Amino acid sequence: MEPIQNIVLRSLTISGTATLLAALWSLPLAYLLASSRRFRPLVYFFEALVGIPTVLVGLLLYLLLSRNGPLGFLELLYTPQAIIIGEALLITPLITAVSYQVMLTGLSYYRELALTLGASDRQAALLVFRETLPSLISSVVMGFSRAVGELGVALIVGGNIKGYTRTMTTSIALATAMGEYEAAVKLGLVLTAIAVGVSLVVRLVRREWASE
Amino acid sequence: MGIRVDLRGISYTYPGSKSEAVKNVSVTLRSGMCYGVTGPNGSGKTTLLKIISLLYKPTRGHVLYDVSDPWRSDITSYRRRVVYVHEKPLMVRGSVLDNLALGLRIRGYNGDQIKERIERIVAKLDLSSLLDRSARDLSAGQRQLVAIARALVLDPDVIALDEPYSNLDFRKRKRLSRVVNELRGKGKLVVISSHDIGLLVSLCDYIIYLEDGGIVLEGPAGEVYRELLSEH
Ligand SMILES: Nc1ncnc2c1ncn2[C@@H]1O[C@H](COP(=O)(O)OP(=O)(O)OP(=O)(O)O)[C@@H](O)[C@H]1O
Ligand SMILES: [Mg+2]
Repeated sequence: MEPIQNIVLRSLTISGTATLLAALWSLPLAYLLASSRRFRPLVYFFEALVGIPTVLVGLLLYLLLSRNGPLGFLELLYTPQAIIIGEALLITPLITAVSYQVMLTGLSYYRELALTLGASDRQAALLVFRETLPSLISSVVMGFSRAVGELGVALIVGGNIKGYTRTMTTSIALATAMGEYEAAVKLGLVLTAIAVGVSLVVRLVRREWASE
Repeated sequence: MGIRVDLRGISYTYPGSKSEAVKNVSVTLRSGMCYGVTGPNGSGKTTLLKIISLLYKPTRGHVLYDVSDPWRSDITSYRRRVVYVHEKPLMVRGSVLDNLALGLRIRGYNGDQIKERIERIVAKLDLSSLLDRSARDLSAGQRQLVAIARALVLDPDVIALDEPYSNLDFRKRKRLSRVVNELRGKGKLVVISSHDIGLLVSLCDYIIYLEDGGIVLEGPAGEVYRELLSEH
């Protein structure tokens, strides 16, 4: 077995990168969706995809990245990058849908407030962003939690290669299959601790913010 | 020279809505006057005030500030001449002081100017005990007063107050009325919506009575009052 801290660190790096990547496009996308009613149908699309099964994302990405697939030439299959892309896609609907709601409220209330005080469009957008930031951070963190705890993508496009693409969830699956229950439970506890820890941090950040 | 706001046959339909919330309203508002807007729930008072304050662009007709149409020009520069205070105002994160400074910061005032302007308004509306409080912890009436102060520090030409009295106690009401009278005396254009016709009559020069988005009765306060009395 690989040292547990290596696996944990790798998992956090992969899922953290995936989350940042997803946030990079999901937040502007959410802003766009919230700013015009024309995009409403797209919102339903993303909302519908929030619960998309992780194995399905893994499978689709596998078909794209496999040697004979359209993106096979990139040679990304069974690399950490493949997991990053897959997890980023997986949590895009979640981050987009949640921050869309946040921004919709922010736009209808804070934008108007800013305008009553003589703000330009840019200043109004800035105020909306500032006031919704804690909730936007929560939505991104929710995405991270889903990414770090998912198995389908990491297993299918990562391949659970020891020392390279092995993550906490794939290790748990493997250890369980091999009857190494102690290792599996240990990793399971770490995974739970991370999820709980992250949600605690978010709570603290929000409270700090609210009472600022 | 004061400002004149001209509404010429304006209507407003909310996006996605089928019916007009404000229908074909024409009225001229002049500086140094207080206008009271009243009417049943859903009659279009808030919508009308937001049109006057350049928050909503009329879907038909024109709003004119003096002789120009702000929507066909630099809207932000016109928006800086008017404030609208929401009936349930929002506070941004931070203290009451931060909130009072918000509009001034947006307009690029420096620290000393901000302090001076805030001090003046705070004294007038008796808010000094609230300055350091977290703005989101205020009671409804306190919020309303802070929001009014947040708007008045900007020294606008046009002031639209949406149900400003709804949460105020007796003393605060008197204080606000005094401030409104003072604004009118200084040549400001004040528009107030309220369900309290008696209050509007005692405070305002001119009353606009809306029903279903249209003006059904308007005129000098005393006349409108007599007319409403004789109806019942
Ligand atoms: N965001 C909105 N979207 C669609 N319709 C709206 C919206 N806001 C208000 N309306 C409709 O526009 C009409 C006028 O509403 P408005 O808020 O101007 O009334 P009001 O006179 O201020 O009422 P109140 O006395 O309850 O404050 C109502 O029929 C209302 O349902
Ligand atoms: Mg209203």
